[in-house]
Amino acid sequence: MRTFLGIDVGAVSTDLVLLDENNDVLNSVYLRTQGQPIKMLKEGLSIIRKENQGISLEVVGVGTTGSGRVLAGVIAGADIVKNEITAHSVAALYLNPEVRTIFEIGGQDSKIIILQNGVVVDFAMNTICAAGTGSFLDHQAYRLDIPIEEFGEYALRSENPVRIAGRCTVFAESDMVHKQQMGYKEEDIIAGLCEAMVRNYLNNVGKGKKILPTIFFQGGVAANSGIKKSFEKEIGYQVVVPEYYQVMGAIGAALLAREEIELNPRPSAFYGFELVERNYQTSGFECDGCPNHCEVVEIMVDGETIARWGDRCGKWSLGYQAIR
Amino acid sequence: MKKKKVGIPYALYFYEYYPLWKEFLTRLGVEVVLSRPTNKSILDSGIRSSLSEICLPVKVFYGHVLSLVDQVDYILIPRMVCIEKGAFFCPKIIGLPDMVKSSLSSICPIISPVVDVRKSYGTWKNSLFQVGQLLTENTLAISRAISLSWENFQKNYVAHLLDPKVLRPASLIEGQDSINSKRQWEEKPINIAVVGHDYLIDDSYINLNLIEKLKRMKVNVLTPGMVHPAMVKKQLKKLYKPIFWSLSRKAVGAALYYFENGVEGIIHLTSFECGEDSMVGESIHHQSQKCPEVSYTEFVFDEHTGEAGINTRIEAFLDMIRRKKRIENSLAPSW
Repeated sequence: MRTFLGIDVGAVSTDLVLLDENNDVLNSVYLRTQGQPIKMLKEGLSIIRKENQGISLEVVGVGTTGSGRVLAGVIAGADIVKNEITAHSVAALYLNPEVRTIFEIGGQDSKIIILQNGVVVDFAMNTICAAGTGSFLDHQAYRLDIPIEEFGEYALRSENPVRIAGRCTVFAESDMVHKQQMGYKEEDIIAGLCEAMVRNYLNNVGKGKKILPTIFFQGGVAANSGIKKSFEKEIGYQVVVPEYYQVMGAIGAALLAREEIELNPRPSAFYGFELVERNYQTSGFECDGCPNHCEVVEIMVDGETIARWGDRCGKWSLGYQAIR
Repeated sequence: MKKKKVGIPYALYFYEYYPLWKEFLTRLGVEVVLSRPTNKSILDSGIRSSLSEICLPVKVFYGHVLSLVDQVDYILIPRMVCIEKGAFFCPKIIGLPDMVKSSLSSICPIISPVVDVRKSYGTWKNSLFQVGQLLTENTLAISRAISLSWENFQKNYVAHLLDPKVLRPASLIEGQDSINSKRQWEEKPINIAVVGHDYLIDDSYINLNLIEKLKRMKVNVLTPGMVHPAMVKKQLKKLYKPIFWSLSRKAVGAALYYFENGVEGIIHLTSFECGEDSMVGESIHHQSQKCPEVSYTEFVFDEHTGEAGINTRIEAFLDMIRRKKRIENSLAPSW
């Protein structure tokens, strides 16, 4: 069977999908990166291999995206390495060409993408602050000792959300402690947090953007029904959470790989599922060639260096040219 | 007699005025030491020694000052107040000599002439003269150095404007007529204007090598320096209110010019905590909403800006422009 593999290595999660020739999702894997992108990538690939035991798979194209896209591209042998904005918009547009707005909230960053007639016309990412991201919610859930998965249900039960400052995680936290000590109900505080996060997102990332339906909400935070509800309350439109909201980046990467291979036909650079048995090591050193002291990273497979980056001047760079 | 050494920090307004000071001081028989382009140790020492609330370019300035301290007899930090009617320098620049003096305790003498053309003592010539008197007693030599270096500064500026690299519409790269493969679309050069303060655009360490990265990705990079000042002036008249800051005028005027003159995208570079940029950015953004055919984005730089963030933004911005063109020209994927 001809298939396309999409890999999204993010700060918090590593996602993989395998699409068949009708672009239907055959397998989708969502793993926590836990600071070990190579290990998780290999684990994701072995899960896909196991799920397809006995089926002969031909991977025709591989695309990588996410903040770890370059590393993933080198490890897996990618045909295309693309940024998350393009990947997320391609996936959303494939599901619904009418999409005008995408809210994408991941672990470490959040984005808004504005589309018109099937192309991206504007986008924004969070800049200095992480208050409108998944890590913020994770952190607050931990503080309240509530599993993050149940956060949304708590919020939905609330009838009177309390107001919490969403400008900054530190202040949100002190606000929350204060509200707890005043005796407000837990679900009202959680709903207040969801509203604070949405407000912060719309005021920072969504500042000056014209938000029109159809609106897609994707990324890990879309699992939180409380946030979805707060968005709808704040902007007055329905917000759609697509079925594969968690792995939309990976789906986009797979679609982009397909596009790349079809428009520039060639055999895939994929190393095959056997790569999970290869032994990858990384090492680093500080270059002392100039006052910048760049931290250079080396990626090695079975003792042989396959890629090197991290230097500003490019004298060490290897195995990875300009990103397509 | 041993030559006196004057250090010039390679930061902030010196991106504009270094040639004038360099020639003037050299003509007085002084050795001019320009600090090295910003690097990690300059940035780190600047951050350590400056106030935490200050903008990144000022922190970088501190780093450059520190890198010169052991090498020179004086450091030149003019107090730039006003060089044209109705516009001023940012308060942090006006107060720069005092800020540096109060935060850096053990430092060699600072020469800080006032440049404020509203006052008789603050004209360029008087400022240069004051500096000259500190370095030599020969007033005739000072006057001569002033007129020659001022003349050359003006002459070079005019020559720069006649340079073919300074924008005429012809320096936009035109597309080929028949493009029919995806690869050709991706490799077709596109015109992107990068606007903002010179000390962000020209400092490749602060801007994480943005200009080189764009060029590597087949972008024809256009900057405010390539727009003729007459054009800048004309564009600024269109604003509802004049721009109050001298150093921002060029950036805004150039941005407005580029919106009308055939670039595919405009990137506004700003530094976090910059007061000017927060106002100026709004007026550029406002203009971008009137010109939806030109893609617009803003990159904010700060001391902890990671390279991954900027790469993603650059790639997404270029992808947006290139995919839009390709799909409009019906080179969409087959499915």
